[in-house]
Amino acid sequence: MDWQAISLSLRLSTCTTLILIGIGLPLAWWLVNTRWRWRFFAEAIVALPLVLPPTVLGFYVLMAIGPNSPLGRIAESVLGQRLPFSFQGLLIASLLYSLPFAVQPFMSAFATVDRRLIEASWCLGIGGFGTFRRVVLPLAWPGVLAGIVLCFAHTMGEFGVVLMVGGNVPGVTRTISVSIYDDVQALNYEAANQTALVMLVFSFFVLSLTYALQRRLLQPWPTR
Amino acid sequence: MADTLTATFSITHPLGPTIHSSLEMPALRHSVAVLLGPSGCGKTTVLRCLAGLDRPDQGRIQFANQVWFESESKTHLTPQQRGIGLVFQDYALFPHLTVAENIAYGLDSQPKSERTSRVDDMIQRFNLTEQRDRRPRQISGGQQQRVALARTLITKPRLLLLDEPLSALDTSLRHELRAALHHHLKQLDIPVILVTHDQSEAEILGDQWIVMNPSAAPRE
Repeated sequence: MDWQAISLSLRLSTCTTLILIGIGLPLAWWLVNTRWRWRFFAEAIVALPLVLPPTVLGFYVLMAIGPNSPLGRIAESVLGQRLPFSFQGLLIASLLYSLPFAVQPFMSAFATVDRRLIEASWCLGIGGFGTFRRVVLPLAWPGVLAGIVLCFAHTMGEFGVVLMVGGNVPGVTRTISVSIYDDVQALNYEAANQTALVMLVFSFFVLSLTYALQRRLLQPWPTR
Repeated sequence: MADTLTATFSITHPLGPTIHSSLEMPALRHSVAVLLGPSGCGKTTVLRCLAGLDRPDQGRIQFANQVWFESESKTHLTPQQRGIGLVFQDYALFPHLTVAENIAYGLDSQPKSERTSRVDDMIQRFNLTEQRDRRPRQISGGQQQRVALARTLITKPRLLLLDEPLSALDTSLRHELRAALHHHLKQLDIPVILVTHDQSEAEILGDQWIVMNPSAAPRE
């Protein structure tokens, strides 16, 4: 069993999820509330990874972070290494690829919060951030949790984007799915089966835990 | 001398009529002004514009010597900046907080000891001692109304706005609670503006009446 790949996938999923919580929560809140006339444009950009083939997204990310691009050159001068085929490059690709899996559940969760409760909070003198922290987040929590788990689980199972941007460097970019693919290519079905089984059990456990937690967290009060 | 509330503005909802307000009234302490009109004539919209939740298309709103809204200078104070209190039609109590937590909600910046003593005072004043640890769905409509009032008044607003405060209750309870609400409102040291479509309710609760006609222009 490829424990190194499992450990790398866990690290990548954790980093991606934590960063997407920081980016996704304010982005989703803004998308739900903005009256900007071009909002649909921003929504389409966020949702693009859902419909794009992973190879297309991976190709453009590779071009964007490559040594000939401005971003690639800046990253190389700051990090002292090239982004393609590195963990950092993989992380950038994962953030883009998993963005809709975090933002869309967050948006759905925020949309269920009764607008009058938010307005009541404002009228009690509480500002935007305080209202978000004390009213919106507690009421939207089950949906936010679903987004966090979906984001984590989706990153664990990434394949196409990972292969395009990260390649197959053991301990650096070789994730679980790439490891399974390699084992199958080498006709080592037993190793592939062991790693795949770990993924299957892990995914099932995470989803079961999420549903159990959601049921427990699901408020005994109506949100609307 | 009483503060004056001036609200001369118009607002058009995307799918609704244009509402014109031309209102100038003394906002007297211990006094309840009732904005009376049929359902759908825009009473709540006027109240929301006064609270700063809706932004008029044009006009001016001023309370005492503070301009709350002025289209010409693009002034628009937020509800937090206006220092108003608004009791919503269905009370909008926070369902995830207990009665005591709901009442304490607006006292975020106060020291804990002061917050506790003010919440205890309010709970006693509004006779909510037994309900203090219950959630809003576990208490009656009348108790919810008292929690909403207590939650708003604890922040010491300059002006109290009430949107159909009895309409969320069933008919028998509504009649029963009119007198209690009147009693609470008369004790307040701030001006109150109350919206209702019920004429008898307006007569019992109000000291001044502003009738909003179907063409949606409230006049004193």
